[in-house]
Amino acid sequence: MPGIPDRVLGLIKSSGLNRHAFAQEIGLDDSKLSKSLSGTRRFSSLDLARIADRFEVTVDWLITGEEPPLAVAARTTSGDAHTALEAAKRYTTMRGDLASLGWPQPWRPVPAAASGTYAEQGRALARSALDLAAKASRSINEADLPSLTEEVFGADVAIVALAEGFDGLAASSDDAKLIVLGTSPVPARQRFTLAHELGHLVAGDDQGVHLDHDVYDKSQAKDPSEQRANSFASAFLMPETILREAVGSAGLTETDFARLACELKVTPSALAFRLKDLRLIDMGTCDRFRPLSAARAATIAQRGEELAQRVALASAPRLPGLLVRDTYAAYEAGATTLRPYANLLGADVDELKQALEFEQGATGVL
Amino acid sequence: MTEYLFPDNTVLCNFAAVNRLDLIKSVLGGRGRWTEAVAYEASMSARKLTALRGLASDSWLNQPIEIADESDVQKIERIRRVVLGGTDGEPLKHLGEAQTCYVIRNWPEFAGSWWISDDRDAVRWAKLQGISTRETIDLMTIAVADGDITAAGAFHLMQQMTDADRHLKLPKSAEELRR
Repeated sequence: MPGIPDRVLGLIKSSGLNRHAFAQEIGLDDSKLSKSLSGTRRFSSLDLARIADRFEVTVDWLITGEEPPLAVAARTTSGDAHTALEAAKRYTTMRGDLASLGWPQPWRPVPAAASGTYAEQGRALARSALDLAAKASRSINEADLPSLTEEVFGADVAIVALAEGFDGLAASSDDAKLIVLGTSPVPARQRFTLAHELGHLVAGDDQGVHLDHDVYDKSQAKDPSEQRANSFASAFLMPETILREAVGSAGLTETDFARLACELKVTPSALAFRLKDLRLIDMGTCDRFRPLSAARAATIAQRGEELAQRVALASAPRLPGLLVRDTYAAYEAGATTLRPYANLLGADVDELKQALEFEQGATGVL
Repeated sequence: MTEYLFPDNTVLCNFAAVNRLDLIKSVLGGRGRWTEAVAYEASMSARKLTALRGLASDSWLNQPIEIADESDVQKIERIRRVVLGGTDGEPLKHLGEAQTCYVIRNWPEFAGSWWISDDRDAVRWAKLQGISTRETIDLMTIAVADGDITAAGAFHLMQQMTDADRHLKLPKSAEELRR
């Protein structure tokens, strides 16, 4: 089985350096490098860190030869997906490390549906997921779906600033469950992406990472796991019971329809298709409702102010809430320094420390 | 059992910044130790603080302690990241602190040793792990008690350190440096 010397030899080869030059790069003399490569001396902690630093690998990889799927994906992907993957890699590494200190991901699996088509499985999972939300006294029509997802399912949700062209990803490992979404001026799309990624997580689709450049892409929807995730998202965001109640025996006027789209915070188009799929409206009505824009629906429903707030919320970055909570808890318990928490916030640790101490002092005064 | 004293690189820099490494050498009294990463950090700092240049060849901190057991290396890497806020992308950042605290906590020959650092956040954590800690101000107090320097001289020296952009806890007065 390949060991550290084999991996270092591989780096020497790929770097194009001769052994003497490589040794100089990492601060070893030729003799020490030679002994380390032959196994008569072991590479030290500092040697490995210097190699990792110079050749852009990790110390863990040098020791184990294993690279987490997220790290591979981040290394081999460019553009906005790379930005999202880097964030996911960072957050999942932090969670894995925190788990070792006693703060694991508080993931709550959704009871799985083993039978039926992929679409049926997605809908069954959505019903189970809605039951869990109801037990936690949370409702699917709440504006803050990331918060609901974190509290009810125990998966972290982060929103990172990305240009258009990448909707989101779901990262899953033994230690971490994470959804990363791009900022978006279209809150309903971001909401659908979140539900779609949650669908991947609750279905246990990937041990690693699942990228969704475009959750509305029709060619992507042919993939069975995408069908299941889409079906989950649709049934989760637009529960059949709510829709049946809204339609009632009188049917839906355009105003009713607009109000329902605003209430559930979905696009009129998605709602129209969902109603049609449930045979609550016919094809003609679907075609009539479908072209309605989110802004027009908000105007009809007199909920423009609420839409404006949702657009602002979806356009803003968001840190993974559970990770933030647990990173601070680890600091508060004395298990870590304040630095990981400050890093997560992107804050200067000294300034943050001062701010926290001031806050404590102010509370004392009051 | 000998209790060793492990100054962090920032502490070495404090004394180097005022050209008084002799003072910390005297306080450590032959019990000073450093890990390989602290020695490396000092060599990097020597680019700016020339007083540090001879430190590796001087023997008063002894040979840098090398850590080569793979299990130890992995545990240090985890401490460096999760406790001290290092990242995979910067594998050398906080390595000296992580190595030092690890060997003091886990290697029987260094049990009970002191870690000397002026990073109060890291010191808080180390104390909670049962590691004895000291700061530059404590070393100065010892130096005054040992007669290596007067309290007024030590007070002035510490002010010079902060003037040199070093970050350390300062006494309110010279009197505070007398035990």
